[in-house]
Amino acid sequence: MQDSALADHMHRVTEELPRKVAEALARQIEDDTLDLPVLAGTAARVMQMALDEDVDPVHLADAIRNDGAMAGNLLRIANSPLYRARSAIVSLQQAISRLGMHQVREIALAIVCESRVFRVKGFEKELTEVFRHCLATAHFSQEIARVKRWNVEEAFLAGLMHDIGRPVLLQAVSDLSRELDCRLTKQQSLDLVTTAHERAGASLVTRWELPQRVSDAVYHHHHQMGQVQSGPLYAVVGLADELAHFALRDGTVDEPALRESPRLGVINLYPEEITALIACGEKVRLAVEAVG
Amino acid sequence: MIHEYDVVVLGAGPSGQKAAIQAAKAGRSVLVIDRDLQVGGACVHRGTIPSKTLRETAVALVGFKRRSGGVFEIPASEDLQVASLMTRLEQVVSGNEEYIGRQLARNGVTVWHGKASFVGPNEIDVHTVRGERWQARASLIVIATGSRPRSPADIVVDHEHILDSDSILSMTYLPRSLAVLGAGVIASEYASMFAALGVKVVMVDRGERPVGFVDPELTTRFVKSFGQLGGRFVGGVKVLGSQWDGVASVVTLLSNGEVLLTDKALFALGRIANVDDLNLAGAGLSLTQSGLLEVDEHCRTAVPHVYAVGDVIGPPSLASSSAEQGRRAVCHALGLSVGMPAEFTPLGVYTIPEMAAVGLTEAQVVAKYGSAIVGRARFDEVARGRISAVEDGLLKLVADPEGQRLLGVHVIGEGASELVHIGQMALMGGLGIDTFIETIFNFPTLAEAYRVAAFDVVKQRELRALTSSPAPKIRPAPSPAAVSS
Repeated sequence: MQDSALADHMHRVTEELPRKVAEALARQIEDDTLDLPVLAGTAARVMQMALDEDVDPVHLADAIRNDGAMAGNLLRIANSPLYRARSAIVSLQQAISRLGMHQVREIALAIVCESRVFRVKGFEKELTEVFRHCLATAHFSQEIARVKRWNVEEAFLAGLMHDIGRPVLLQAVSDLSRELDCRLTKQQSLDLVTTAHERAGASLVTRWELPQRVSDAVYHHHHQMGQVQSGPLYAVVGLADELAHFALRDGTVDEPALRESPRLGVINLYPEEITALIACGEKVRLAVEAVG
Repeated sequence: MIHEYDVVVLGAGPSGQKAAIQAAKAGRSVLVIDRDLQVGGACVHRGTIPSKTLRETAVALVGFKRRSGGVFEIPASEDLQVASLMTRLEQVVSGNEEYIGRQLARNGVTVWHGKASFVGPNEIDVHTVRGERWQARASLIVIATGSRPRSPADIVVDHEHILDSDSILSMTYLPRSLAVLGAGVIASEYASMFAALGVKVVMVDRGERPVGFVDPELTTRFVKSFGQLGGRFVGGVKVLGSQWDGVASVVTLLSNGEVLLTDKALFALGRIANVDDLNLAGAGLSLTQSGLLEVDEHCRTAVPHVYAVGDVIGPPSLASSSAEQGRRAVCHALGLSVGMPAEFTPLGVYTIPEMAAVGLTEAQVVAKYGSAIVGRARFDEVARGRISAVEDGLLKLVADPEGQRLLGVHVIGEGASELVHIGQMALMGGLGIDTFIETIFNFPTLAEAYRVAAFDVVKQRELRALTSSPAPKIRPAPSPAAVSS
C-alpha cells in the first residue's frame, strides 16, 4: 500500500483524525523510520542486572527474552554491522549464544541508554497489557510449535513480536500529535494503532533482518485462513493470539470461539490438542505474572 | 451412516500407499485414512525426503572439496540458515505429495483426513480436526500408521534445544555443535550430515559401534569417515542426563565422566509405534511388550483380517521394506502371488558415506553354512573410485563355503544404495560368483567393484581348493587390480 493510500485508510478508520497526522504517520511507516521504545520499568530492571557482575546469566537472558522491546532491540543491535556475524542472527537464543553473556550485558546497557523510554501519558496501562499479551502469545506460539514439531525459537519470536507495532505507533502518534499540534482523543489514537500495527510491526521486523517468515507472521496474524507463501507460522501466531486473549481473560475470546477457530484447520490441530493447549493457560498466565 | 469398502488402510506413508495401490489394482474398493493434512506420512514430511534433501547438499559439499583436491575450500559458515541448504525442499516435498496423491486418485483410492480408531473388528471410526465423525467398514484392514520418536523419561525433549528426529530439521540456523544421543540409522545419518556441513558433532551410544545390525566392517569404515568429517563417535557409554543450561548450551553428562557442552542435542534413541489413538482393543488386538504389533511372516496380526505393516511392527523400519510389506500383506490377504522373496529387500542407510546391503551377512552365512568366502573390493582399486574421490568405499560379496553361490552383498561408499541393486538382481536371479567375472561393466564405473570382489572370491576359492587337495597344483591367482585394469 502506498503511503497516500495508507494515510487515506487511516483517515477513514478514525474519521476525525487530522489528515496531516495520518499522512505523517503513513510516511514514517513507509520510510521505516519508526523506533521501538522500551518500557521504563524494564529499562531499570535490565540496567540493574547488566551492571551487576554477579548476576545469574540465566536471569538476564530471561529478562531479555521475555520482553518484546528488549528482545527486539537486542536483535536490532545483534544484526548491526558492529556485532553482526557472517550470517544474520535469526533468533533470540542464537543471539545470546553467539554473542556471549559479556556482549549481551554490554548490548543490554546500550539498549537502555540509547533507546527512548516509552512515555505516552495516559497509555501506560494499555502498553503494559500489550507487552503481557505479547509474552503470552509467544508462550502459546512455542507450545503450538512444539506440538507440530515446527521451529520453537522462531514461533516464540514471532509471537513476541506480533503486536510490536502497537507501542511503536502509539509513541509515534503521540510524538506527531505534539509536533503537529493536533490533539487526538485516546480512542482515535488506539484506533489508529489497531489499523496499522501489523504493517508497522512487520516493517520493523524486516528492518532488523529477521526471517521473512517472522515478518509475514506479524503482518498476517489477523488472517483467519488461506495461503501465506512463507507457511503456516501466521496461523500459529494467530491462534496463539486467541489463546493468549482467552488465558489472560481480557474478555475478547471465549472457549467456543477458540474451538471453532479456522486456524485449527490450517495448522491441523485436533480437538484434544486444542484442549491440551487451553490447559496450558494457567502455566502461561503464571509465566506472564512472573515477569511483572 | 457407515461407508462400506473392501479394504481400509490406516496411514498414507510408504507402506499404506503400497497396500492401497495393490488392493486397488486388484479391483477392490479402497479407503485410506490419515491424520495429516497431506498424504506421504512421516517419510515425505518429516523423515526420509526432507533429510535426504539436506543430505544432498552435504554430499555435494564434501564431494566438491574432495574432487577439487584441496584447491577449493568451502569454509563452514556457522549460523548459516538451514533453509538455505534446502531451498528445493518445498518442491521436492510437494512433488512427492502430488505424485502420491495422483497415484492414489488414478487408482480410485478414496482418502479421508482424520484420526482413525477401531470400534469393532471391521469398523473404523474417524474424527476430524473440525470434530466431525465418520464411520467405515471393511473386510480387510491394514494398519500402517508408522511411528514417532521415542521420548525419554529422564530427558526433556523441548524441540528447541534438545530435539528429536521429527523436529531436528525445524532448526532455522546451523548450530556450531551438536550432540547426537543414539547411533541407530537416523542418528548416524544426521550425525554425518551435520558433520559434513561443518557442525562439530559428537555421537554417543551404549553400543560399541553405530548401526549395530550393519556389517561391522562397513561401520568401522563409517566411523573412520565420520572422524574425517570432524565428527567423533563415543561408543560404550550411557547418557546419564542432558539438559539446557538456560543460557547458551545443552549439557550432556556421560557415564565415562565426560561432559559435553553443545549448542543443540539430537535425541535419537528409538521410535515407538503410532497406535495410541487406534483403540486396538476394539479390534481384539494388543501390543507386544515393546509397544509393537505382532504379525506373522505375511504381516497378519492375531486377528486374521487385520494386517500391520511398516514401523508399527518394528525393524527394519525402512521406507523400502515398509512399502514392500504393504504390498505383500495385501497380496497375501487377497490370495495373490507375492513375487520376490522378502529376504532380497535391500537395506540402505544414508550416512555419509552411504551403507547398503542385501541378502545375508558374513556372520549369518557362517552360522548357516559353517563358513563363508568373502570377496572385497576397495573403491581405490577401481578407476571410478579414484576419479570420483570416493576411495574410502568398500564392496563385499559374501559367498557360500565353496565360493560359488552369492549369498549377500554389503557396500559402503557414495552410490552404495544404487550399487547394491546389481547384487540384488544377482541374488534374485540365483547367479553365481563367476557371473561377475564373465560380465563386462561400463568403464570407468563403481560397478567394476563387483568384478574385483568376485576375483577375490575366486582367488580364495582356488586357495582353499589347493590347501584341501592332496596333490595341489600351484597356479598363480589373478591379481584383482591387474585384472580390473
